[in-house]
Amino acid sequence: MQRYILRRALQGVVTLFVVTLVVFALGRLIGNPVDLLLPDDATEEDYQRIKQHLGLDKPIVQQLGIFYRNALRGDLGDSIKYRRPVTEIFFERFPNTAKLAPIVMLISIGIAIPLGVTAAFFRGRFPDKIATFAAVFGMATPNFWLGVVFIYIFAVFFRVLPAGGMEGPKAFILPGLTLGISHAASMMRLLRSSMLEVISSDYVRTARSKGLPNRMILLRHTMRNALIPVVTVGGMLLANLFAGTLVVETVFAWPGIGQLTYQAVFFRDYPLLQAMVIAAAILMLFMNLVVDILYGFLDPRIRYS
Amino acid sequence: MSATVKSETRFPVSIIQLRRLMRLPLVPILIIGVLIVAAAFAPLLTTRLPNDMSLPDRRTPPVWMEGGKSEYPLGADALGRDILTRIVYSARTTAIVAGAALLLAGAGGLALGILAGYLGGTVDGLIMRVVDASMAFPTILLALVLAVTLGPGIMTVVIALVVVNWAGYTRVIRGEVLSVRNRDHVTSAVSIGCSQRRIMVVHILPMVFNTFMVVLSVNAGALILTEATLSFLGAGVPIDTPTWGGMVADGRRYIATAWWISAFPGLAITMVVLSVNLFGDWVRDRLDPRLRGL
Repeated sequence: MQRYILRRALQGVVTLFVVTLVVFALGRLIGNPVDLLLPDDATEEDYQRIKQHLGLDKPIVQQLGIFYRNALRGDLGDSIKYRRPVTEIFFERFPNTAKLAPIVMLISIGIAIPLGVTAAFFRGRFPDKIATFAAVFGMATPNFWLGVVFIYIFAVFFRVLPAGGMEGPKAFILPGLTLGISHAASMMRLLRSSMLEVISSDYVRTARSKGLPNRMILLRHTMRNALIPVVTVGGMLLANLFAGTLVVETVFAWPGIGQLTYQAVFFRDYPLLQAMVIAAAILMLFMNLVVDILYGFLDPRIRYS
Repeated sequence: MSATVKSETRFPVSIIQLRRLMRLPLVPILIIGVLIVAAAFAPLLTTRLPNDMSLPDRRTPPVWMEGGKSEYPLGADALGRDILTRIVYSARTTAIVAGAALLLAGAGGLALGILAGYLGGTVDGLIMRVVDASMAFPTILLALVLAVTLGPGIMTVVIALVVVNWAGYTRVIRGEVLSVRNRDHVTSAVSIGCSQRRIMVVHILPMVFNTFMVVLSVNAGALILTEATLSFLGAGVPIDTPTWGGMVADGRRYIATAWWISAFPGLAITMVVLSVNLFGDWVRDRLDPRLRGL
């Protein structure tokens, strides 16, 4: 197990190296940040000075070396827009997004588990059809539109919830619901199909022949084994927090890392964007590792060698 | 035995064939058909242009509501542009962008998957590391970065969608190639001295083509959603090109007074993605039910 974790961690480092290389290359190949910083009437002298200040006058290999040296010290440069270290801004905004994550998780699990279990239990019958259709529908609905629809229903029509910002606990409901529903759909579908697989297995038949009540079989024998997809999607949800929140934070004016990334893209704040992409990749690699390790605990048959 | 059954039960056989046809997902096919017709014949379906403005008519509600006008069946947006016309023309944008991206990403991913799976070794290692790295980026983030750095344009969106999509095909196809590369027909092709290119094109490609079609059809819906998200965020497609995502974004500011500006284009996205997904499920069940997990 330890060797497995070590190997995966090493693989992650290699992947991360490729990611940073791509990020670095993209930044130098496309668009010159100096042009964006300076007004149109800037002199050639200003131009050179800024270039020197940003270290862009050095050979590309040296720039790469400096980039990695600083990155290992936790210094990813200053944001062009905020004129402050990007890591500082990141850690300032990160808690806001992190606070949203458990709520999204709760909502998606709260929807997916009951629906998935019901659908599997009533396979092919009416409740299954309803639940499956809801999941298919949920997967097809773009989350930005869902957010806008929720704002109309709850903030404009019924006036019970705020349309944006993060003032008070009520503000968490709509963003949480929007993100939660889009994750619940795929979670429910996976849960349903893995429940079906487990229900037709030998040990469930044995449990049934022993005369155990259905409820016991469902909870003790099937659920635990069927939980694997929930862990998978849950991990994906956290790993994709950036991508998911990018849209939802934009819709609900939520001051987290999603909104920050969106701003970084549109202001061409390259150092900031660079940091966001690297953070997103680290989160993704880390969560995938955590999910794989959790599999081992949930299902002792999965052994890593 | 089978011959007699065949001759005796000609009528039941045709009923079976009919039922097989009936299992076609009719509603999704109908909606996809409408999308394609709208995309192909947009100028014939509506006399107006998507950017025709009429400021006095701005935010006209849909025709069934109080104040609605028959010229604007689904209402007008904040600049007095007909929403129905814009939805029809956006179908064209979606069909072109998503269609091109799907084909390019699919073809590229298929080729790389076959190369990685069949050649193995360094080529495989190299391709798969790039696949891992590109899958370590959240889709939307990567597409957004690309779309903004490349500047607005239809091609930009196509490129961004291809870059975020190809790796999925490569991964699945490589796995399939690994499982067929040691089949008898392949080893005998090797033993009679076929070139590697011939083996990959003639002996491997047909074996993985079903899987490829399944991944293609299962992916199409997600691709359309990514396109819609990009245009909602205002990245990629030029402002004067109507898109469903862009229309939802336009209406966001007027959600309190004119919900129809955002509602109908969003509904169009949902219906189309839903249909494409259901159609994809049908293709998968027909061609390769093993791939249910995808």
